[in-house]
This record gives sequence, structure tokens and C-alpha cells, in this order.
Amino acid sequence: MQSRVVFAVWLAICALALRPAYGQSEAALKKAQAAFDQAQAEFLQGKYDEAARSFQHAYDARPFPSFLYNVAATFHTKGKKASDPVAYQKAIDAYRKYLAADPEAPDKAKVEKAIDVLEAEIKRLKGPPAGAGSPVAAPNGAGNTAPPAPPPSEEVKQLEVKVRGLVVIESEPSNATIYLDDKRKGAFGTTPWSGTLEGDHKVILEKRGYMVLEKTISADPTKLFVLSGAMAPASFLGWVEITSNVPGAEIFIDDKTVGAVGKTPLSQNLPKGKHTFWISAEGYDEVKQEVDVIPNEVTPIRIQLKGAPVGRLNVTGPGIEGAKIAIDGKVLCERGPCQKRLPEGDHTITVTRHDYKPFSRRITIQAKTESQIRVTLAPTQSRSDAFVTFLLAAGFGGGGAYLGLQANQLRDALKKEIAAGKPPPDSNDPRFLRGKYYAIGADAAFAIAGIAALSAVYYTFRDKGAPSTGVIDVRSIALTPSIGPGYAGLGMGVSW
Amino acid sequence: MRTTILCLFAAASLAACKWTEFDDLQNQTWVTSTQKPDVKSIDYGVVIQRGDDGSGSATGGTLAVIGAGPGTYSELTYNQAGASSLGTTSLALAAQGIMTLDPSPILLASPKSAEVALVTTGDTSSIIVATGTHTLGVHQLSVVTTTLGNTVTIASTPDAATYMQPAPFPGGDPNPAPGPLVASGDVVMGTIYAPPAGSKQPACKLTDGTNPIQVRALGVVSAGATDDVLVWNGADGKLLKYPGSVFNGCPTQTPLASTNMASTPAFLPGHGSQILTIDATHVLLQGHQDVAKGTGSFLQVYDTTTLSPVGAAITTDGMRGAAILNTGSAMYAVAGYPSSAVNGKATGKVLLFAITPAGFATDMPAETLYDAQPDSNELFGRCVAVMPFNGKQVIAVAADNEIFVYFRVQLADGTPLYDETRQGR
Repeated sequence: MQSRVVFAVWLAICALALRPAYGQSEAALKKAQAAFDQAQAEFLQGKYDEAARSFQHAYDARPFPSFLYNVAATFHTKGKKASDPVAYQKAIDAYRKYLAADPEAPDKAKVEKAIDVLEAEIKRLKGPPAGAGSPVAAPNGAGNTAPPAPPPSEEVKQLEVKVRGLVVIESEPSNATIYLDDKRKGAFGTTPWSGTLEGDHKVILEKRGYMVLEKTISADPTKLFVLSGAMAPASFLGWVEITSNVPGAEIFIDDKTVGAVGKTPLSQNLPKGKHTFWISAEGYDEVKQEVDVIPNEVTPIRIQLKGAPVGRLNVTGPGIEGAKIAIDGKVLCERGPCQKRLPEGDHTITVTRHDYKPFSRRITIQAKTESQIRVTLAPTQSRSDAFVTFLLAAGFGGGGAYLGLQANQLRDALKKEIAAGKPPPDSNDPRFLRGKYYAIGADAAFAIAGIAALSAVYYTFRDKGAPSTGVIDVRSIALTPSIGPGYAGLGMGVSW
Repeated sequence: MRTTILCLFAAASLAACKWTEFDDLQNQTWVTSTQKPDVKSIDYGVVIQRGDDGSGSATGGTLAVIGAGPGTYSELTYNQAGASSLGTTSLALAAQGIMTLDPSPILLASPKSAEVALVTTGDTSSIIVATGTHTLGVHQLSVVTTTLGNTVTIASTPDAATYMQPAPFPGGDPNPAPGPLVASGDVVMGTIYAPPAGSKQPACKLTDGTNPIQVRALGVVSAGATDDVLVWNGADGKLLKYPGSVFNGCPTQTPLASTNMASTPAFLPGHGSQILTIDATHVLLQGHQDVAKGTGSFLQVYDTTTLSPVGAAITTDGMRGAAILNTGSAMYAVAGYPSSAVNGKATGKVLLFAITPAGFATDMPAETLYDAQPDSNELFGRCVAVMPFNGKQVIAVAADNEIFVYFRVQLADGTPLYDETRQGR
């Protein structure tokens, strides 16, 4: 407890000590911004020497390398306008200073190429003129008129040159982690940061022991835009540093339903107290960890993901968006395409869609593989033949029943008349033959009805037409070692 | 699926009909009906008569059947179980020289043998008498060279005939078998087909005083070794008795006896009327009018001794023929009414009237036979016969191209007229 109090007092003293420095920096930044704006105006007016001088003043106020680039670009433009080797040389000198100030400049290659092209252009311009021996123009312009400047070479013409706007992101205190737009993209940089940005962006600044700062910027490529954030200390926050042996593993905190908050490695503040972390990566067992975040302390979370015997199932195919995919009788996806992880082993996949024949297949999911099934569902065929056959069966059944009743009536009447003998039917009584015909007809009708009914049942349940099919393609999910700044682990990719 | 199939089979089994039941029922019928067999006549069964007389030990029965258009003689043979078949002795009458068959030909059965005799019109000079047992042999009775000489004209169309036991013909067989006596007009002729040399065809002109004679029915009454002749006069309805000597020929013959006014049947018989022997002293007069004259009928028992009626007459219209059924315990007149309506349909019927010693006790039939499933104009009963069968007598009825034989008959009161006569069923 005593140590914490001492630490807080120390932080307060530091903060007070830093305030003047931050104020000086802010004045320099305003000076630099004024010089930058003036330089832009002069550049647009074609006052290249003045503009270059103003960009240099801006650099002098705040040494952002982009200011030096703009000095070079200004001389480059002047030289290109008049094929002036002196201006070209100044541009080359400024480019070199730019590269010296920012050796890791993202446009280093382009700048070096520009230097080479301009040096060649200077040599070309200083070489013997096409009309050697002709009178040279007097410096004061008296006498003969000066010959027109030669056009720039094709190489020079192809070089793109323009002054840049500048986005400066600063924070107080500095060394805050910058996230651009979404923390899940990972860290963008640390303050102070300067560079070129275009469009609207959300800037998230995060630093241990300070409240998270979020701002939205609209960067103008022709202006100097400065984002200065004063981060408020937060004594109730703890700092967590989450890393895993698998870089890029998704991090869920406290509530999985809101989605992943970022990917490993990730450092951020969290309110004090207990938090639940889930770290998951494709092909690995998900790790759940409960962590008690202590304010003003760093809580490292080191996650060791272990490969699980799981594979991935990817169900695709024409019309799959209307199909329901089930595994082992349980719905896996309400509609396709469906890409899910499944435990290693045998499974039964069933793809159903209204008015289509279901597709069912026994598949074996292997660990660290993706089993892609391209399902082509065949439409179910009409059952009109079964309906007609049922009608036929019913018709013959009804006819058979009618004929049977007629036969039975005749039989009973004949029996009765034979017994009574009033009058006795004779052996050629037509009712014998008629009754026999009725009986045979009834039996035949019953037989046909039975056959028709069986056929109808068959027609009802038979798999008519082509079945639904599926093509299985198994692909391995490769795990490759990956090393990055501040982390090392295994990356995953799919290959086949 | 399996359950569905089982249910279907079960339902089919329950609902299935056994058509063989109708074969069984067909065998249980009391009546065997035989459609026209393979004979050339298109009008089969215009007249029927018993074939076998039942005197032998053979079982079953035989029915002689005459067909018309063209004329045929055939026999239906009934086995002891009552199944019929066409006999092997079918004849085309034209091939026998019988070119014209009368509309109602006379077919007689010998009282003492299985012989039958067909009497019909011959050519202009003869009447044909074809006789035989299970076949027919044609004989001609000459109507021009008779013992009567040329004093009378005899038509070649027979009006009546009867089997009778004649006395021996002079110069002929000393023990003659019963033979047909044929009447045409007022003349009767004995069937001496080949008279001894010098003799002519015997004939005898019957007289009754001044009364004209039109023989419409002939019958016999025993007179010891020979028979006397009964004649039913179609001119006045009288029943006349003549001596049996008329068979062998004579110029004229007056009756031995005749019915008086009170006992003369009040009916003038037409062609096809019959005098049927009931017993030694009784006959049954079956009379009906010629078709062109009407449908009047007459049925009455007569005492042959007194020539007087016994009991009341039955005059139900439409009768065309009759036979006498002797069941051993009772006698019945079997009368055919081929044009009578049954259940509103003119299909014909056969009425059975019980014959008692007092004649007909009632004019109500003891039983009515008719086709249970008749066709219109079936002419059921256009000819009736009694056929010996398995030692008993059964009723045979002719209809249009169909012969019915009743092997079992039950009376209207439910008592059996005769019970099952078939054997081996």
C-alpha cells in the first residue's frame, strides 16, 4: 500500500514537470504550422524559393521529415519548370536530408530514384549545348537574348512530384499506442507520429495508466493536420498485455457475443477487477482465462494455444444460400455457405432445401484439414405419377368392390332361389355367368388395384430423377512459423 | 412399407371373390338347361319326346328333340348326374326325305319300347312316318292307293296320331308291335309300310252317323290284346271310341261309343290336341284351338269306359301341349303355356295340375314352372315331355332353342313333387 502511494506521488510530480515541456512543444507546433501554411501559399503562387524557405522554417520549428521532403519537392518543381540545374541540385540535397532524417521512410525507394533521375538531368543540362560556338547570353540580358530553356527529359517528366500534406499525431504523454479505425487491425504506431493519411479515420490512442482517447480526423493531403491528445491519467485502470504463441489469435473479453476486441499481441487498459479472456485461433483449442486486473499495474497474459483435433468443414455449392446444413442431426448452419470447425472423426452431413432432394453423406473430418463439400442439390421431381397411380388404384379398388358386391348379391340371390326353388334357377341361368364375370372382374380389379397401389407407394417413395450430389475436397491447413515485432508464433494458412 | 403391403394383401384377400362358387352353385341347381347344341336347325326344340323308355337298366335318360329350319332329329343324353350332351345320332331330316316339316310336327313315343315316331307331311301323295330307336327310319303312308280306293280324297297332312297295339295285318306279322295310327281328316291309317303283295295301304274312314268327323286327337284304350281307338272330333267336340281294327283298314267304321250331349267336351279341339292315357280307364283330353282361331284351351280327365268326364275341366287359355307325370305316388298333368306372361313378361310357363281319381280337384296349379331369368318370347313350355331318368320320371320343357329338364321339383306348398333324381353328385 505504501509503495502505491509513493508511485502515485511520483507520477504527479512527473506530470507537473512535463507540462511546461508540452507547452513549449505546442508553441513550436503552431510555429511550424504557420510556416507550413505560408509555404503552401507561396508554392501555389510559384514562389518556389520562398516556399522552400518556409518549409525549412517549419522543419526548424518541428523536425518532421515530411517538411524536408516538401523542401525537396519545391525545388524539384522549380527545376522542372525551367530545367534549372541549380534548383535540381537543391532538390537533391533536400531529398537526401529527408532520407537522412527518416531512414525508414516508406517512399525511400521512390526518393532515391528521383535523386538518380535528377542527377542525370543536371548532367544533361550542363553538357555541351547543341549549337556550340554560338554567342552566350550576357548575364544582365543586354545584347543578345537568352536561348529558351530545354524541356525536361522524359525521365524527369515521368517523376511524380508534389508537396505533401502532413498528419501529425501527438499525445501527452507520448509513446501512446495508436490504433487506426479498429483495434482488431492491430497497432498502427506510437505517438508522436507523422505521415500522410487520406480520408476520414478514427484514431484511438491508448497508453498504460491513461484513459483511452478516441478522435476522428479528416486528413487534407495539402495541409498540415496536427492531432494532439492530452491523455487523462486513470488510476482505476490496469494494463493488460496479451500475447499468444499463435499471432493473430482472436481475443474476446468478458462477452463473446460482442465479437473479438482484437488480435494477439494486444496491450490495453482495462477496468480493474476480474475479467474473462477467450483466446481462439483456427485449428487450436480455445483458451479461457480469468484475470484479476489491478489498477496501475501491468498484467501480462501469456496464452499457449494448443492444436486441437479439429478440422474445418466448408459447405458450398449453387443455391446453398437457401439450404440448411446439419451435422449428425443437429443444425450447423441455418443457411449456406457454411464454414465451421468440427471435431475430428466421422460425421454425417445433411443438406436440405425446400423442393430439393436432401443430400446426405458420411464424411471423415481430419484434424487441421478443411473438408470442402460442393453440394449440388437436385430439385425434387413431381409426384404426379404417384397421384395418378393412386387414383388408378382407388378406381380399380372401387370398381372391384362394386363388382364384388354385385357378385355377392348374385351369389346370395341364386343360393336363396336354389334353396327355395320358386322358381329354381336353371344351369344356364345367365346370373351364373354374370356372377362369375363379376367375381373374376372384381378379383382382377383388386389385383390391378393392388399392383397400382404398390406402384403408387413405390412412386411415392422412390428417388426419382438425379440425386443431389456433393464433391468433397480435402485441403490441409498448414501451420507455419511466424515472427513479428514483439511476438513469435505459428501462422496458419490453407493450401491444397 | 411392409405394413402397407401386408394391409393391401389382407384387404385383397378379404375382398376377393371366389368365382368357383358360381360353378358350385351351378351344380346345385334343380334344372339343367341345354342351349341349342351343334345341330343345324335354327329353331331347336319345336317338339320333344322321351327317347329311352326307362325299361332298361341304364341310368340317365334320353330326350328326342326335333328342330326346324332345317329339320333335324337329335337326342340329348343325360347322364346319371344330369349333365346333358348331344347324342351321336343326329339326323338332318331333309337327308331322310322329309323336306317339309309341319309347324307342330307330331312326335310320339311307343308305350312299349324306346321307339319314337315322327309324323309329318310328306309329298302330295303320302304322309311320312319316321320311326326308330335313337334314330329315325322314314316310311311313307300312301294316301292315294289305300284300301279306300278312289272314293275319298285323303290329304297328305296328318291331323293326329297315336301309338296303338293293332291286331295282326292279314298276311303280315302275326305279333305286330305297337305302331302309329295316323289320322288325316276323317280317315285313319295304320302304319303298314310294306303291305303284303296284293294289299294296299290300310285306311279307314271314320263315321258318326251324319256328323262330320275331323280327327284332331287320337288316343287308345286297351281292349285286351289290342287297343281300341279314341277320337276327339274337332267338328263337334265329341269323344268317340272306334275298334282297333281300323288300324288295318276298312271302308268305313262307325264308333263303338261316343259321348252324349252332356258329356261331350264343350271344346272344339284344334290341331295338336292330345288324348293322353292316364291308366286303363282314364285319359286326359288336352285340347287347344288352332293358333289362327284363338288361345282357348281345355284339359279334362275322361273315363274311357263311360266316355264321361271325371271332375272339372281346366280351361286356362294358352295351353299348347301336355304330358302326364307319374311319380309313382301321384299323377300330374304337365301343361305348357308358351305365350303366358310371368311377372308381366310373355315368356311362357308350365303348370302342373294334380290328377286324382276324381279328376282335377282344383283348377289351381300345384306348381308353376318358369324360367327364373327368362328372355322375352322365350316360348317356355311350347312342348312338354316326361322323361324316364334314373328309374324315375322327370319333366322336360322345350323353349326357344333351349331344353329344360327338372331333376327336382317342389310344389307350391313346399312339399317335393319329386326329390333329387340325379345320382353321383
